[in-house]
Amino acid sequence: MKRFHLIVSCFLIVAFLLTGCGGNKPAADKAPGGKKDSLNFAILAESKELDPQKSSDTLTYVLLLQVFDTLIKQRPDGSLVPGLAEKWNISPDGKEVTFTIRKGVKFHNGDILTTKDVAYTLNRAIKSAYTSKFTSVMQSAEAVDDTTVKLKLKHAYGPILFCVANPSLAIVSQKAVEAAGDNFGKNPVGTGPYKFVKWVSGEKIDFTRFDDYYRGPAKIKDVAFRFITDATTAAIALEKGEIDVLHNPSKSDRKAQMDNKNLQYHEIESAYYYHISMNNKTGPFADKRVRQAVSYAIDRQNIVLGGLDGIGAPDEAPMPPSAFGYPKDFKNNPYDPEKAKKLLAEAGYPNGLTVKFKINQAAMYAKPAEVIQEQLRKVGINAELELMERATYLEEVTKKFNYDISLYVITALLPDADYVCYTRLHSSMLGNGNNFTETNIPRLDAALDKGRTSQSKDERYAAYREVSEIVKEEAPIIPVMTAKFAIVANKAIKGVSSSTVDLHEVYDYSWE
Amino acid sequence: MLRYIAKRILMMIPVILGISLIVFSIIELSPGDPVSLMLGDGASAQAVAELREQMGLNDNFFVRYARYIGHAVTGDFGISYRNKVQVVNEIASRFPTTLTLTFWGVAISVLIGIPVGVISAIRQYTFIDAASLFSALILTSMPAFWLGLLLILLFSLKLGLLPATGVATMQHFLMPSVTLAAASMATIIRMTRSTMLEVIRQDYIRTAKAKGASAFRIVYKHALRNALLPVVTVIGLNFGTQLGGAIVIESVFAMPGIGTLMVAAVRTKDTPIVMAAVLFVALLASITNLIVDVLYAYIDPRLKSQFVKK
Amino acid sequence: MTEKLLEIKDLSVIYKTDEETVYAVNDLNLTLNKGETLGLVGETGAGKTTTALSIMRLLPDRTGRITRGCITLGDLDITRASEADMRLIRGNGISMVFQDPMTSLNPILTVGEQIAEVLQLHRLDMSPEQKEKRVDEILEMVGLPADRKHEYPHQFSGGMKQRVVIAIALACEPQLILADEPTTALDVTIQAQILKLMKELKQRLNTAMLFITHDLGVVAQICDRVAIMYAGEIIEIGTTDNIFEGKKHHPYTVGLFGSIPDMTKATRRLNPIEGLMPDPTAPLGGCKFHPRCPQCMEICKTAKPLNIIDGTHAIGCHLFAGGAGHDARINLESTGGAE
Repeated sequence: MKRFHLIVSCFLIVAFLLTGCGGNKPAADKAPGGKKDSLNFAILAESKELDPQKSSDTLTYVLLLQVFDTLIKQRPDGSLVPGLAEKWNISPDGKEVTFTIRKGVKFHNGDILTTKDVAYTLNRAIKSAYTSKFTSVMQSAEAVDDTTVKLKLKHAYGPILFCVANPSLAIVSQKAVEAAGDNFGKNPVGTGPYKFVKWVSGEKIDFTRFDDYYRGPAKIKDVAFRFITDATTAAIALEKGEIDVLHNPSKSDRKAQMDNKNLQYHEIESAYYYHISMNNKTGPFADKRVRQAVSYAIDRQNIVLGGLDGIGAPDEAPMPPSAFGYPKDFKNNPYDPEKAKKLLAEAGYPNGLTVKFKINQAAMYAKPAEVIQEQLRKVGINAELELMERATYLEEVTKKFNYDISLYVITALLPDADYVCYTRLHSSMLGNGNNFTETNIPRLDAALDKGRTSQSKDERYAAYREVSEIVKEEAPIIPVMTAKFAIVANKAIKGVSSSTVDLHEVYDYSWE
Repeated sequence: MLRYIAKRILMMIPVILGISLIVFSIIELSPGDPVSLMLGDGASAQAVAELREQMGLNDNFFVRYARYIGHAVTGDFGISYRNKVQVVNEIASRFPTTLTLTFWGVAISVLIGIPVGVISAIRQYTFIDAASLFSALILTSMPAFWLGLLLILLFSLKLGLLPATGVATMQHFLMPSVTLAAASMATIIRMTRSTMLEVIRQDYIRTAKAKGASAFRIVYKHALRNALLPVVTVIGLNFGTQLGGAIVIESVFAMPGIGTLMVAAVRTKDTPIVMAAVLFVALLASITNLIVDVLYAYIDPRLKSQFVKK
Repeated sequence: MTEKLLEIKDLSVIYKTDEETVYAVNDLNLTLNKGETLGLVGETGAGKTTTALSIMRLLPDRTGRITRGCITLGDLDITRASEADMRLIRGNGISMVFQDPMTSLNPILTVGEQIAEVLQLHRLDMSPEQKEKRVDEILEMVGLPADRKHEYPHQFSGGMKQRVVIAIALACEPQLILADEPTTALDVTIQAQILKLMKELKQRLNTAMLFITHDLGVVAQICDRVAIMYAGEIIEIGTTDNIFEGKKHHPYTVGLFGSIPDMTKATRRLNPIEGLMPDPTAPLGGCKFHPRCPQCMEICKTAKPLNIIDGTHAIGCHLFAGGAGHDARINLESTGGAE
């Protein structure tokens, strides 16, 4: 019996120890006045480190924007306004951008922002592998004097201002980076409206108001970004009030959240678009007629209805409509199954054919892919659907081209046609997961190059209309549709809005 | 006994090494390049190649494995590919959550499962017995994530009694622990019931009755400990399942544990994190097995004498 | 000079399950005096153990039931006593020694703990030290060194375990011990030791004993009186002399003796009793033994025989129904006392 008591005692000791570990600290979320002074913002995954120059995903961007500022600020409606740069000027040849830096801006550590910090940040971004997609055109940056920074480009680049406005190019404190080394991402120091407080791995990141913020202090004092990986749990937590804002809620909760009187729901056409990719080099889709047949075989409206529950819009050009350069009223090949069958017969497949349809297994692809599979079956293409884990998909399909046809999205991290078209379709981007259709069409390359380097807006628009026409005819990829970005929040918060670039600043929010 | 424990701890080393090699190979052989995953769409081939070189990913498999083990032995488990933090710190920060969750999961399943199993056995074929077996069946067949959501809906949303997410207080652990306990509780109930039924038919129980012992004393002092041996085995074996269950439950209740860490790391091919997390869990499981074996000896003197002879 | 200790009157016990009812003990009558040893002999299934369990009130919970009769121990009616009262009797007033020493002890408690438990349950007045001392004493008494009390049952041999079981039974010096085939599971040399031990201890403590066995040789060694049981009834009872030396016997008793090898005679082969015991689920009319009885008469098939008394000897058989049978039952009760 004594042994039994020993076991029970051990149990109790462990229990008390663990209870201690749990900690007891229910956060006080009411300010003395009784008005709510804190905010819980939920995101559906843990973000990466908060180092702008080591990030390139939209989830981390949402957090970066609270701590850092960019030279040029991109507003939720997509417009560009001055940020840390009061003004900027692009040289006539388009190869040099001059920024005038705002004076008296303070970093969280109390230091004053200098042009040296700006030049250091830009050069850091140019060197970083993570941000090369935005900085590959940049040559170098240099602090000319106390107020001026010059950014030299390798060649003229249409969307250069969007690049500078991207959160990956948010300005860091040189001193803080050099002091923290590799740990900067876990102890970020910026000029943004909120100071980093602490990161609880897997749970949340706490921020608090930076009182010396150059635009004036934020209205809400404490902000926690909580990682809630289960969308349903997040929806319940929002309804219960444990969280106040939920980024990218699950579509299955959309109706309930829209109907909930205590919540506000905002959605807007997203910056990513679904497109069918085909292996242009090997297999049946090497034949242009077969690719065209697919483009006549799909009914975009039905894919939106069946694959996205109607929460999206058909997209006919190879870029999301929110991107600069989108050709208005452009029409791709219409839905015409008879024509598709005829084209297949001409290509030598009068009795149809069987192809491998490989997709990433994430829910966002599975449903639309099934609708597409059904539409292809109607014209005689038997697409064998194969769902793969993301890493496998990227390796097999985008790197090894071991597929016939696929469905994928690309996000316009820069709201410009160049960003999505160039990587997917230009022959210089062959391999490495970018141009995995192995598209190599010289006149398409020419149009893309023109769109990329031209300084004239009209010329760029014309170039992307041409790109769309060539894609319509050659069908290396087939644009399908765009989905929607959504954000849902407690109704008592003012200033919440949806954003075409999916960027949200808590600085804009206040409690009623 | 101490010698036996020391011996068992030594025997863990090859087991852990073996597991590390297997896990390392699996991550290695599965398709996908961590660098491409880190850099995302649109990264240039040159950028990818540079980062690979920088991270030492171009060396051959054995060199990298040996390097990993060499560092691991000194306690250096590397730096997360994704988050650039010391893996050891990351594991250490997640560890209390998972351990607390698993501990309470096991505790609740034992504290409820064993008494219910005992009552069920001594009241065999009564309503109580039927009810407990029925609830055991329901509990096993209910997927953890679903049960978790049901609990959240009821206790958080409708009744407002408990928080749905987070780990700040012990109340936060209540629903996750119950969810985790559910499935193994069912096993424990059924196991306790059946071994108890077997034990109360033994001659020594009749001897105890003939001594004039009360029903409670017979169950507590004579039957229970004899019946517990197989149950302890089940609890030990369940521990691994519990850790697996913790992965799902941590995600449902948004808890920062080893489980959510591991899932995120596998998705991004964050080898240092995956390795350390798996090794950690393996170590935990080995230690649990050892504890179970030592517990055996405490419960059953026949086994203890075997250890002593060794 | 003989004082009645245990009296069983018209005891009937059944085992009832969903499928069938087993009539295990039928109208059994028995008395046992203080300090006396009564051997209860019979084939497997005759109801010997059921009788003993009825005395302890330890019949299986859901199935076993006393349907009729009463058992009195001194002034206490065991069949009507509360469960709490019974717990005070068990191990204290009446102890039981079971058949298989290998399984009768709890494997996870030391033998000392198991002996001390009886004292904890019944000797509330004793201090822990006194209890320890008593455990040592009783171990020595059954011939085991006291320092082995910290060992576990698996560290003992079969015979030693039975000594422990006996020590448990004797710890509170009960008035009555029910010994249910205590030596059957042991090998012969150990059997003899245990029997000798039981006989000695019984005399020393003046305990009465109901000794259940199917071994007539054992009976001869240890018992004062013997009752022969067949199909839930006692068909012959008498002093050990009556049974072993008497001239008149129930035909079943004759058969029972015939099936034991006799070293003094040159028998070519044993004479087992033909046939099997009657089906206990379907009670038989008349004498229960008639289907197997070599001397069966017509009356045996219809009428239940009365006990025919001859001094200390009673036989339940129509063969001896010579007129003395009317008051048989009353007389039977006064036949005890072989001293």
